[in-house]
Amino acid sequence: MSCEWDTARFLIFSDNGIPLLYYSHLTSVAIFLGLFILTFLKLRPWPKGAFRLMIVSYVIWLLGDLVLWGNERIDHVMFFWTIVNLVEPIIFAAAYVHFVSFTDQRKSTNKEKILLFALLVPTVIMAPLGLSTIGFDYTNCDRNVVEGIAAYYNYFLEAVFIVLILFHAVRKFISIKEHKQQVYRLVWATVSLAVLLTSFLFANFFGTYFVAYEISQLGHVAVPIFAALLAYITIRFDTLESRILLIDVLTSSLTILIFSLLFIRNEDAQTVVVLISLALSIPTAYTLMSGIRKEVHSRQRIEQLAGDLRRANEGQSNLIHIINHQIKGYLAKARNIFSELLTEPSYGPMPETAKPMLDEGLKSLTEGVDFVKDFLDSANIEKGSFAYSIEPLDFKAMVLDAAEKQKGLAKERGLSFEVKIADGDYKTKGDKTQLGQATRNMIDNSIRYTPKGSVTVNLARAGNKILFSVKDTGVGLSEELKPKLFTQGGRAENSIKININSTGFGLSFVKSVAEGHKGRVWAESAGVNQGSTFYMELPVV
Amino acid sequence: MKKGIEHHFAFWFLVWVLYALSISLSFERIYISQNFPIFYTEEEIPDPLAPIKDFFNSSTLK
Repeated sequence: MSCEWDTARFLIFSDNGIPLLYYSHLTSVAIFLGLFILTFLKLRPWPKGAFRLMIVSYVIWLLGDLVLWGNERIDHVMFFWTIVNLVEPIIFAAAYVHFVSFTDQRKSTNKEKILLFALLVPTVIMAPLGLSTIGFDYTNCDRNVVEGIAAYYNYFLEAVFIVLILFHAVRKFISIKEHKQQVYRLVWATVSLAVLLTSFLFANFFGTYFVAYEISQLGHVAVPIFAALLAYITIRFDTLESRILLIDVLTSSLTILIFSLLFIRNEDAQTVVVLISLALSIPTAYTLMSGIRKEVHSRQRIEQLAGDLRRANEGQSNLIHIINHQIKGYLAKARNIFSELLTEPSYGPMPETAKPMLDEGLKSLTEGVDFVKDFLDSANIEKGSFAYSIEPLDFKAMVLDAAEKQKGLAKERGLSFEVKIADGDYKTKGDKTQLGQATRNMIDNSIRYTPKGSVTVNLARAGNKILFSVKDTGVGLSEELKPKLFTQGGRAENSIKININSTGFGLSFVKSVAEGHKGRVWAESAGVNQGSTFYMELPVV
Repeated sequence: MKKGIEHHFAFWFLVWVLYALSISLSFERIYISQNFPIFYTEEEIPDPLAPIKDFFNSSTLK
C-alpha cells in the first residue's frame, strides 16, 4: 500500500495535517513564549521555576505534535510521538507545583519534588520499552501510531494532578475564606489552570480513544483562554504591573506569530507581506513596551514620592505642634510674670519710667500667646483631635462680648465700628470658647485688613439658622484668593504687609469650628479694595 | 544551605539523566534498530490495554 504524503519542510510544515493545526499550535507556542519571556521580568515575586517548566514542556509538546501531523516519515512520527508522550505528564506535574507555589507563595520542598518525580518515572521507563508507542498503524494513510499502556498511564496521572490541584484549591479556600481579595485570586487562578489542563486532557484522551486526533486540536483553544485569565488575574490583583504584562504578552506573541508565518508558506508575495509586517511590528512593539514600562515606573515613583511626602508632612506637623506647645508654655509663663509685676502689690510700685515698657511687654506676650493658641487650635481641629465641649449658649451675648473685646482695636485703627443684631432668639448649643474665639477671629480679621472706613458686625436669624457676618470696607478679595481663604496658611501674598500678625490660620480655624458645629462659612467681595463680607452660618440646636 | 543546593542539583541531575537516557534509548529503538512493528491489517494491531487485562486475568487474582 502506498500513501501520498507531502514532504515536510523544517520537519513540520506540509499539507499532511489540517490547516487549522498551524494556527492552534503556533498561536499557543507564541503565547507561551510570550509568557516565558514575562517570567524573567521583575514582576511581583512568586516562584517561577515550575511555571517555566510547564511552558517549556507545553511548547515541546506542541512542536512535537506538529511533527506527528506534518512529517511523512514513519520513524520521525514514532520518535516524536514518544517524546510527546514523555513530556505530557510533566506539563501537569509542573502545573500542580506552580499552582501550589502561586497560592502558598513558596517553593516546593525536596520531598514533594521527589514524590512527584516518582510518579513520572513509569513513563520514563516505559518509553524505551515500546510501551508508549507500540508500532505504526499502516492500515490507512492517517500516519497514526498505536499507543501503548504508557499513554493510558499518562491520562491517569494527568487526571490525578487535576484532582490534586482542585483538592489544594479547596483546602486553601477553607483557610483564606475570610480574605475576599485572596479568595478571588485563588478562584481565578484555579479556573485558569483547570480550564487549560482539563481541556488538554479530555481532548487528548478522546483523540486517542476514538483514534480521531482532530479532536485533540480543540484542547489548545484553552491556551489563549488561559493567557487571558492570567492577564485578568494580573490586572485585578497587581494593578500597575499588569499593563506591562499585557503589552509584553500581546506584542511578543504577535511578533512571534508573524515570524512563524514565514515558515508556513513560501510564496514570494506572501513572504514580502510577512517581512513588511515584521519590520513594522518589531519597532512598534519595542516602542510600545518601553513606553508603557517607562510610564508605569514613573507612576510607581510618583506614588512612592507622594507617600514619602505625606510622611514628611506628618512628621513636620508633629514637630511644629511640639515646638508650639513649648513656645506657648514659655510665652504664657513670661506673660504671667509681667502681669504679676504690674498688678501684685507685694513687689512694690514699679518705677513710672519702666511702666510703659512693662505694659508693652505684657501686650506683646498676650498677643504671642493668642497667636500660638490660634495656631494650635486650628491644627488640632484640622487633625480631628479636638474635642468640643457642647453646652447651652446665647449666641447674641457671645457676639456682643467678642465685639466689645475687639472694639478697642477698631478704635485704635481709626475705624468706625458698629454692631447690628436683629430681633430673635439666639439661644443654641455649642462650644462657647471655640465659637467665641471664631467670632472674635472674624471681627479681628476684618479690622486688621481694613486700613480705613468701617467694620459692621451683623447677627440675624434665617429660619432655624443663625447667620453671623462681618462686613468691612477693607482690602477686599481677589478671585485667586477666594478658594484658599479658609485653608491653613491661606492668606493673600501681600497680607503680611497689611497685617503683621497674620498667621494665615485665623479663618481656617473659623471654618473648622463652624463645620465642627455642622455649619458653614463663606466670603463675598466685589474685588480687590472693594471691601468684603465674611459669613458664618450655624444651625440652631 | 550548601547541602540544600547540593540536593537541588543532585535531584535535577538525576531527572535530566533519566530523561536523557529514556530519549536516547527510544532514539536507538526507533532510528537505529528500527525495532518497532508496522501494522498493515486491523487484526495485527494489539490491544493497548492488554497488559492491564492480563494482570487482572492473572492467576493471582483468580
